[in-house]
Amino acid sequence: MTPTATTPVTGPTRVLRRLARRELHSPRSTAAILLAVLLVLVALWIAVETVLALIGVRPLLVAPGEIPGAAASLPTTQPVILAVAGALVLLLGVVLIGIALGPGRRHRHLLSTGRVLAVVDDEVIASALAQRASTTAATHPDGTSVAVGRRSAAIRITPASGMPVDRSEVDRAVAADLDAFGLQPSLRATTSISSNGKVGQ
Amino acid sequence: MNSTNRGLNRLLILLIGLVFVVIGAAALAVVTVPVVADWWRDNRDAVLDTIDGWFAWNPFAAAPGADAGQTAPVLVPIVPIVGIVLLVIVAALLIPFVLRQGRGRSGVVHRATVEHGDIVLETDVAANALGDALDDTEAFSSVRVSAWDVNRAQALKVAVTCRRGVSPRTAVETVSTAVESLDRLLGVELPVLVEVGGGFRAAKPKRVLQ
Repeated sequence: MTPTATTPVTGPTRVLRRLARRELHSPRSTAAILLAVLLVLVALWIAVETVLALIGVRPLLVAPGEIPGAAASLPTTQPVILAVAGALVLLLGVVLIGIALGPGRRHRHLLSTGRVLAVVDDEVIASALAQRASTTAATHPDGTSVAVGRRSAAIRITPASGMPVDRSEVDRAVAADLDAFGLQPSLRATTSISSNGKVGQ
Repeated sequence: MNSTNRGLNRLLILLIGLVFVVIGAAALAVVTVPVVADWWRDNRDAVLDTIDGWFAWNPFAAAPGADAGQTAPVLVPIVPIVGIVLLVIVAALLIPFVLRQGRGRSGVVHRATVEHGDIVLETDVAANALGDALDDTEAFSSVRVSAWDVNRAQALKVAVTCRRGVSPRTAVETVSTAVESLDRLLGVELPVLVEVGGGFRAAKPKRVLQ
């Protein structure tokens, strides 16, 4: 970022850095909202059942007093169902812990230039690289596919039959583009050319 | 960009995940691990009695001993009532937690106090100016501008959708130029975050019959 006359450089830049970091990571709102809503429903259900039990009205589903006894006899009455359900709940728990502790990265890269800070979807990078690769190789755009990861971009070109493609030329062009983009973290491109050509393009 | 409390999100997911792991592992072990199954067969009734004991616990009930039967014990079920209150509190805390997710949009991009009064710059001013400057850009299929509250200040978010094959650097530089014009127009430099999205996937090769 270039220093500007009217605002101190630390202010907006720090705020922007923080904003950009937030945009690069998932807030995990979907999972959190889903779990919170479920928790509210279960809490309210247990509360209602307890009130019904206290005033002696028939329970909605199960009386809370019967739950421990019923659960305790499951190993003898329904061992298979209990084992399967236990395994599923265990798996779900592991997935949730993974969501909570994982980095939760979104498929985006940072690009800082001029006056602004930008987060760029990997899709856009892939699309730009595919365009460059297919014009350099003189192949049809539909014969080029690009997969962009965090630090690497894999380019696959399916040439038209009988039209050889110069791999090093594509490599150079794509690397020059990536240099010019100045993404963070930076990407390294690898190109592969399919040995089977495609007829008619 | 919004006011979502991400740490709290992680914490909630982590806690529920741990509870699920413990319950799931216990249920699985009691059926599949012989040692655990044996222990459960021997101690099942003791465990149930302990749980019943918790629910029947009542400090107001007459202690068995000296003056048992002298005063009538208060037969209010303490544990269930406290339980209900706790459950309602949990629900009451979780509802605002859910509603706060994703909030934090601002209708104002800048406030300033000058000699003759206050200046309030509304988001629409910045949004319209940037929108006008960027709408005709061939490379973008859509431009959306919003303002957000960040640490009691405001930041602009410019979300652009690029057409297929557009260089991300060119896209960002185009927005940056428009933002510099906005700086001159408004006389303040707002922090600007640009979001460059695609919406069009990179071409995938079609299947070829061989």
